[in-house]
Amino acid sequence: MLALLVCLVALLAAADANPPATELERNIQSFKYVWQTVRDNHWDPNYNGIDWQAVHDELRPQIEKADTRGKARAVLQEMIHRLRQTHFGIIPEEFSPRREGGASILDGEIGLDVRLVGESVLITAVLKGSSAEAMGIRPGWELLAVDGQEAAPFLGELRKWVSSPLLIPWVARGEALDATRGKPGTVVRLRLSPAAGVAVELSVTRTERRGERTQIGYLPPAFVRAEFLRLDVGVGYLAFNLFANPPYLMQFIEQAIASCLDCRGFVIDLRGNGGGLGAMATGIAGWFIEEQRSLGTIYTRGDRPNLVVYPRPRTYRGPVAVLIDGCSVSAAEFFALGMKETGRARLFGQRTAGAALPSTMDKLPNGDLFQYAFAGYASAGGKTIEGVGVAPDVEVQLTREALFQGRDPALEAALEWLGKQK
Amino acid sequence: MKGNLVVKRLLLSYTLLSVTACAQETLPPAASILDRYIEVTGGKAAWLAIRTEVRKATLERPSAGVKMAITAWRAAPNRSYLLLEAPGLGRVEEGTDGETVWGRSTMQGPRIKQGGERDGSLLAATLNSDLRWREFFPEAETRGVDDVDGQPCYRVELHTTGGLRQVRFYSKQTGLLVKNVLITKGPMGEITADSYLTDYRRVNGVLVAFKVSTKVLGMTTTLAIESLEFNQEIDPAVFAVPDDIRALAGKQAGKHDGP
Repeated sequence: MLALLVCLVALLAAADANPPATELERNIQSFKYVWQTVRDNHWDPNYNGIDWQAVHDELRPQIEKADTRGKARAVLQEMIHRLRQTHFGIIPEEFSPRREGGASILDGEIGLDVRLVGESVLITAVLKGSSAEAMGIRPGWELLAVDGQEAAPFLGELRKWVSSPLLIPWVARGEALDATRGKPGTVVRLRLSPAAGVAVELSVTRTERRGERTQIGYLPPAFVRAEFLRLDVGVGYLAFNLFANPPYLMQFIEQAIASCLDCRGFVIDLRGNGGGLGAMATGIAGWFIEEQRSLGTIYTRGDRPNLVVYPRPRTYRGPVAVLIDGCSVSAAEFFALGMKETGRARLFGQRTAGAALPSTMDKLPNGDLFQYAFAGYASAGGKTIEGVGVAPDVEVQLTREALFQGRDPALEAALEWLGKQK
Repeated sequence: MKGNLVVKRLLLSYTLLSVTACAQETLPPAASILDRYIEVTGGKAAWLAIRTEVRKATLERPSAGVKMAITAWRAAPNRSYLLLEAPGLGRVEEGTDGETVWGRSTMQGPRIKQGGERDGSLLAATLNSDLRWREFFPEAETRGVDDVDGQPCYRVELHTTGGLRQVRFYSKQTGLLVKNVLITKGPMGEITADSYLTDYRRVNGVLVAFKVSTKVLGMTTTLAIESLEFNQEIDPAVFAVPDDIRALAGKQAGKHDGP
């Protein structure tokens, strides 16, 4: 292990202080970094059944010809794709500004959300005051193309390279939203279908992305959005899109819960939640769980630490419903499963993405980012989530009809159940 | 005759011990290694003169571009408060007034440490704990000689009465501690941290490692001391147990006053 440390330090020093002279050399250094990091950190000494040395030997000749960043990315993606696990990826440098406060190419949005429903990418939400709303876009419309890229053939391609069918809804949504993003002030061309057999083309101007912007180290910026409502039926409704930016989000949630300790029920909406910091999941669970419990265990080659929930001084004791769907990922998944296993919540919606591995991100010598999982995960009840997802207690499908009607069937089911609880 | 027999038995015992020791390359007893460390880092008198400590440091993971600021206050005998501030992540605090041992973070809120975790934190809070190792580690044994970064080091295993275990590696040549394997026990279970200590500098007559690289769960972070001050006056309020920790203690004791 010490050899690895020395190796990493050497690579980083080379990248920072004395970069290799050519793009090719930087790409080869990056190849070594990625391969060695997996070799030394993957929690499974059998690398999920892959001969990792053979992967190196097969792809090494290809990286030796990769004289551009694009060619190197393809080789590195191929290498880590062989593991067939989530939380391994190469992220282009341009997604993450070099300086704090610098602009990312993802900083602008048009203000909508989408889901894959059947074979269609449907608009599921349009933010108030957004460019999308100003252009008349409404929930239920189908997204057919973004800047000339047709959704249907793209989805076909997606199904070929995504490692698990469960991941398709999450990846499709991410790809569609990323395609609509760009620098604020730029324009994206959309082709949409408001109704069967009808198509419209719209040019929509991107504006500053909403949410509390945060950036940690070399990670791409995250935009955290949270919403809390005390519904007419006396139920608290909390939704947030990421487990990130704890200084903002934890205070937001603490205030929400403090204002709702007398609520007859509580809904935590994790649909579309992209995960984030695992410690936030246990921290949030602490507002709902009365005794010290575990949300599961992460296992490395050496240690197996528990994900401990420390009860807060004040906890919400009423019934809790958690909403999930195929775009609930990672920390959102083990939070949902943990709340279920501790008997603290009932889950409504659709099966989650099955992408729950603790991961981190390092900068490569060629400037791109390398995300890698360093541990496996098992719930307190011994269940794994990776590739399996978390099943809801009550399955509720999203339909285009419901979107047109402005209805939310999963929330309705949760409220119905909460209404029956004492 | 009886006297001769006793002498013979003693001689035999001595001979057997000597043979065993020779076969194991005459490892020095742990006590001499631990006491030598005190001597080479400044001596007992210099360490005993330290009553308070304020450290300012950075904790960095260069490969991820993450850098955090740490300030740690300690006062004799075992009061401590540590504040870690990480941009985008919030704060982590750890403290004890010598009785209540607590932690609090932006992400996980307040908590009170108990059992082995409490013991470990109290040990870490104790000024001059290395000087008083006999109190904390009733079991200490030299296990062998290992190479650490090219240096031959004595491997010393230490056990507390509470079941905490440390494996320390002291340079044969300099007597300095160059590696420490700390096995902590707490609600998260047993976790091993491998630390490498370098960049020893003399402050107020004692040598302190200014750089500590620690590997936990496969991730390496580096702590670099930026300033270290001994015997500065510290406001006792720094070590006071915060109100929410007291509320939590009350709740855990069944005196919950919330809704």
